[in-house]
Amino acid sequence: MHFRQAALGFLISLSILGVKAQASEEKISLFSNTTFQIRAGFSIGGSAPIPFPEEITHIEHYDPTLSLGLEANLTKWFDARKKWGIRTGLRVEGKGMKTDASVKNYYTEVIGDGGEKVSGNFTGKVQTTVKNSYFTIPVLLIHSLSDKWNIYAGPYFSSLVEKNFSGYVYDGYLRDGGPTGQKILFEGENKGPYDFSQDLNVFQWGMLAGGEWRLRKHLRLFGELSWGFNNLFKKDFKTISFDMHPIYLNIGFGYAF
Amino acid sequence: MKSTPLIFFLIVSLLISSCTKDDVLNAEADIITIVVPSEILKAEPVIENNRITVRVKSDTDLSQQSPEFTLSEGATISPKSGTTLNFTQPQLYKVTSQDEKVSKEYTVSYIKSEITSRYDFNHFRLDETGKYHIFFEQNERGDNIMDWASGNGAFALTANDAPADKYPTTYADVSENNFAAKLITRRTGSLGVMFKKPIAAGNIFMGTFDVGAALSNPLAAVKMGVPFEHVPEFLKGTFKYSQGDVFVQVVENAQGELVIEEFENGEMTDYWDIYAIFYDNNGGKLMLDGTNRFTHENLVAVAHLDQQDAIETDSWAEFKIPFVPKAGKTVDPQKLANGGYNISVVMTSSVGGDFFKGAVNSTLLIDNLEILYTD
Repeated sequence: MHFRQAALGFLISLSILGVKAQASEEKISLFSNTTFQIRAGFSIGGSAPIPFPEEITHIEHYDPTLSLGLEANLTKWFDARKKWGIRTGLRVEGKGMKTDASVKNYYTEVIGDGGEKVSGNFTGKVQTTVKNSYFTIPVLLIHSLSDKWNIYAGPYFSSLVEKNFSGYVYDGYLRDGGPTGQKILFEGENKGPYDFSQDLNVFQWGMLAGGEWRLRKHLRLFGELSWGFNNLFKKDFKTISFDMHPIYLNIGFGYAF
Repeated sequence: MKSTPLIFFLIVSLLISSCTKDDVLNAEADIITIVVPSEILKAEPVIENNRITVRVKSDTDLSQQSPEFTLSEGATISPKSGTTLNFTQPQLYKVTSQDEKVSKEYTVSYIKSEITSRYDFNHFRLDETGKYHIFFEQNERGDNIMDWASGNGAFALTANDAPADKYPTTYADVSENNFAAKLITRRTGSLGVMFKKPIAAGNIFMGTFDVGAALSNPLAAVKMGVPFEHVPEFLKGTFKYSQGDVFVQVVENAQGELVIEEFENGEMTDYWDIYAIFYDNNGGKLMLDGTNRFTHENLVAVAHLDQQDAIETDSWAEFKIPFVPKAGKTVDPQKLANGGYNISVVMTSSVGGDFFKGAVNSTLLIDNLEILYTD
């Protein structure tokens, strides 16, 4: 279902690009009423389970990490007054975070100090590092509220190019296979690392909404929220029992030509 | 739309702020402690994941015992804690978690027979997960009076779906209905290599193997000792031994990194090992482990195979090793009768197995083990 929606959105965006490409022969009409922008910004946020599972009892520490993004986009305005338009572009963006959480009876799979691969229910602390990079194509409907303000919203489609979802469990114990299994301690220096990077979904899509403010003639300040609709992990990945969604705030500057 | 960032921050803070949820019901179903009258105890009760062994004095009336339990938070037990039951046979208890989603059965055994002194390794069963073999000893009535411990529980974590006969500790056929303990040094697979613990030597010993501690402190996980009411003199038995082809060891290189070295064609020699320790258990409170088995001040006597006798042989050979008393140590007969001394016999297919050193497929067969004693 989600995939179909995503595919549909992707097709729409492709066809828009196609129309633009076709139109390039009639340069005048294409670029009439079209504006260009380049942007740089950073994103803070995280990959959050929604709804928040009861196994995670407490977030001890959260570090948004520094994730940068670059984008080039073009906006085709429908009317001469530039009230409504459609914007698309290409963005290279990082999405990362680092968290320490207390968990109780949290199902996971770790690699023990002796190379033992153990899955089961862990009670204790989990550190997670996410550091992913994506190529993203947003397809946005844009509306100009005033000389100063534009707002926009629409779907985005991302392809994962650099991936890392890893961490370790510590200060606790894992029950081998399930809550009644053999107790395996992870104490002191003994940590149980895990790495689910290979299980990340290569395709991500979601919704994006935000606004940009005209700071100077060419300079824009923008802020936007992106919310991933499909699970961060592949369908067949069952180790993490709940879906995780990337939710990020992007802030930065744009230069409008 | 100015409020978008604000909304976002609200959401994020909702998600990541201290969303403490202490009302989650507990999912565990463990017996944490067992309380029995201390005057009947010979040793501290041993609680494992599915069984509890209580060694009691020989004059204890087993027909009416009312052990009390403490459980995982919120868990319940049936029959109830403190119920009087007849422990001439092991009793089953069922513990149900607070969230009522899981339950676990425990076998609680009171054992008053002291351990025997002859071990033929003819009795074994699969562990409760069905993955590996456990040898055990019976008395004349056919009651289980001791499980032999081994490192199989830790190997199970790396073994994926290896059959029981591919574990480091398993059995060998000697003749019809006659078996021997078979200890083999095994590779631990690619993950074992990654963590510089490339091999697991076969081992078997009297005591308990604490799988929970095995990852953080392998030496301390090997808890050696069961009460023994005689003064041991000799350790004897029969064996077969063959060395593996590829000797593996972990050494520190010039950069201080651990690297795995492999030697072929007999460049390095592997040996098997057997030893027995006899020590004062401080009234049932002390268990020696891999860190202090030869050094603890409570040791009374130690029997250890001379390495030059750890020969390769493909026909059954005999060994007989004297217990060498520690200087200045005497045995108190009263304490001895009350189970105040522990013994443990320990065997391995690679003498350096504790430090992940040995030849892959070194194979030791042990049979007809006996502790000779004076009284």
